[in-house]
Amino acid sequence: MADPVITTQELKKAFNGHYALNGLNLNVPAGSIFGFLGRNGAGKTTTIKLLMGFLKPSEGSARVFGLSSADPSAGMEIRGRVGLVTEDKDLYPYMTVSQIIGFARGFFAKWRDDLEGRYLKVFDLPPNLKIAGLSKGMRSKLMLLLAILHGAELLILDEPTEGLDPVAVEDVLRELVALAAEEGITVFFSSHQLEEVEQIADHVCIIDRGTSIIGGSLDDLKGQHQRLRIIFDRELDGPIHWVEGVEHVRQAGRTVEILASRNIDAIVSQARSFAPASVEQFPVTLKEIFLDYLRRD
Amino acid sequence: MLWYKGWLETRFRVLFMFLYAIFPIPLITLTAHAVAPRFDPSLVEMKGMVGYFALFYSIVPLMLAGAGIKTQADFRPQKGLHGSIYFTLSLPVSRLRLLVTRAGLGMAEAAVVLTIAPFAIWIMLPPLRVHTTALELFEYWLALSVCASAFYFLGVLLSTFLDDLWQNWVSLFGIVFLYGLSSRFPGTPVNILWAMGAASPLFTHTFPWASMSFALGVAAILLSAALKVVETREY
Repeated sequence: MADPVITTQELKKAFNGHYALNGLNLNVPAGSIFGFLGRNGAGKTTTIKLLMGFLKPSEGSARVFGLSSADPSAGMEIRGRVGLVTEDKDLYPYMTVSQIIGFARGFFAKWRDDLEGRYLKVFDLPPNLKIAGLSKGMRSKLMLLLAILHGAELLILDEPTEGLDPVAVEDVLRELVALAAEEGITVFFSSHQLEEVEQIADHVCIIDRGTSIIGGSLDDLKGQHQRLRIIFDRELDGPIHWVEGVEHVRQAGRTVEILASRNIDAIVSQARSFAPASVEQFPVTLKEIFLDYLRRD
Repeated sequence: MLWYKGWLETRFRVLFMFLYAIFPIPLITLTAHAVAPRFDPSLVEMKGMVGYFALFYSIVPLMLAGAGIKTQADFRPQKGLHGSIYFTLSLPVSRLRLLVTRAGLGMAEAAVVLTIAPFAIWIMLPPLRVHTTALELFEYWLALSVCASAFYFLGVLLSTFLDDLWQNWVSLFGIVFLYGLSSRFPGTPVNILWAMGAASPLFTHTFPWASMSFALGVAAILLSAALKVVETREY
């Protein structure tokens, strides 16, 4: 596994005594497309603000490229190598697209003038339009364009496709995959759009209440997890105490559905011991993993 | 490029403050001379009037005080203005540089707008022309700008933790409070407004060095406090 570009260890952040992050552990491999998932208020944006040095950790550490994001001087180097798309996609409303490109160019030594025309066309951004006149989706594309042009090694994207129409979503996702594949850029992005994450991510982490509840390679996660549907021809006497590996159980009438993360054979054997009418096994989608893990409690 | 950004944010404020600085000239020349055709105030009266003008012009630096590292609002509602601070903070620039650049630009803008003050006084108070030279008008502008820096950096400090509206209101109350406080110390360096009026080079023909030094000292303390706030604050 490649060296992690982002590492957090027992990262905590409290606001007025309430922990928005409560011991988050993250490892984002270099060159990966990392989907960062969670409900609203789970701590995704707080994590991004800590990685960028906008907030300071209450406890634990956050490191980007091996540098502490809480250290102001290291933060300068981190920000020079990171492209950010913020949650609100707010840029200076009084500047035009070409003015903000010219403004940002002055801060980065490795500015990619050669890509400017291409990405203005790909993202359909009119250079002379004021930012105040851009939709949220267009501002998102403009922030992404700025991040790409400054030669970022890591893109941190907070809901990058929010506000985009389906065609633009496809364009952005395609470009993100191309950047990771061709330029070796690491992409760390939060999203609610699980289908999009599944489409492009190779690693994911699901957080809830400020802590990671599951994470790793998406292929491994999907390979490890299975859905079992057990149908009985009679009513069950009571809840079944399942062997280890069952993450979530949903029982409706004579049908029991299980999300299992490991120990699948033992779970199937246990199911068969109750003499069901049928036991079926299905592969799972990321959406099913996400929903079942968040509904566990 | 930070200068350019700051200028784009503040150009309408600068224009407005130019109009504000010029506003008394037609008002006084038209009304005073109409009311009193032989407008001939005594030296004591002129000292009082210049004192009031100094108070009037001390509003200029307050209104041009930088926005800390926030994006400065002009007089129009602009969607997404405050959220753009995260884009600013994501640039590979220290918070110190962001603040110092913005504060430096605003102070320079205030000093440029304040060039109107000596000319305005020269036009509005014809008897004063007899006593003052062009060099003294320049010295008055310099003394005014240096003394006003204390008010300016009060605005800068407030801007680091207050929104624009509150910053302006608190600044105005602050200047009234400072005026009241300094008037309790007449003839001392602490009385910055006195140094901008009756004790200015227009009347004393010398710089109010003590008050200027005091104002610079206060400005330095306020700037240090603003830097501390910006460096430790979370966004």
